[in-house]
Amino acid sequence: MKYRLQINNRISEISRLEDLMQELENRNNLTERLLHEVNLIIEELVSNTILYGYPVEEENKHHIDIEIIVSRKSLRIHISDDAFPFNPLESGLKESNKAKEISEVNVGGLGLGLVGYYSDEIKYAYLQNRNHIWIVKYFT
Amino acid sequence: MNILKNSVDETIVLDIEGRLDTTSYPQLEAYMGDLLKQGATKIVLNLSSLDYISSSGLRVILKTLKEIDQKGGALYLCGLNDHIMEIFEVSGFTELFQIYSTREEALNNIDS
Repeated sequence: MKYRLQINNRISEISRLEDLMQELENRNNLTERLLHEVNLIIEELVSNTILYGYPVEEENKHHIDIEIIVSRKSLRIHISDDAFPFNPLESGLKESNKAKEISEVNVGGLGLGLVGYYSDEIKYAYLQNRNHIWIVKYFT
Repeated sequence: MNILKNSVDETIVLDIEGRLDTTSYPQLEAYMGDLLKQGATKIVLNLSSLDYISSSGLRVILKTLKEIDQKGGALYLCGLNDHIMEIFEVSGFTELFQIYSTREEALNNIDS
């Protein structure tokens, strides 16, 4: 089954992800844990785009497209936007943040680190002036 | 997100309910900032009713830890469910915080 949501580049729009998650939950036999992980992946990527992907004066003037496809063996997420080109795979997506001291903690990569941890596959491409990221989570 | 405040001696216990994410973290950030301005030095965050946390929530909790640490105070966490505990572990936060299973355990272990 395919689910789609288009939101504007405004932080308050992230609350609309809950509707998407609710629809996913209602129509599929997915665990609460999996739904949380999917919610987290999408929120981290989309909030990153909204906060850093556009000039401030362009707030609420652009669309971010989110698509989720649920099949028997996997859940696939596709997020695309017309923000500044940004490849999260080149931004420490897989880096861990094992700081020992409070002062050492790098808060900048927290969100992408979580995306990397909870995704089984990640692909990125910049096509026709749009960022595209595809994420796969396999059902175990 | 809801924040319920209680006091036990000099310790402030905050029960955080709901979701701590990109849209709700400013509420907690402002609340914690006010508490610190009012002189709070011992805070327990009870996360047993927290359903969801994202990196924005982690950041505001870390920010509070840094600020209270600079004042010589302490921030304790308790009641993390398995998934939220995992998020703390993945993010390296379990090494930074004193985390207890229950509110009572946190209160019993607070340094006098």
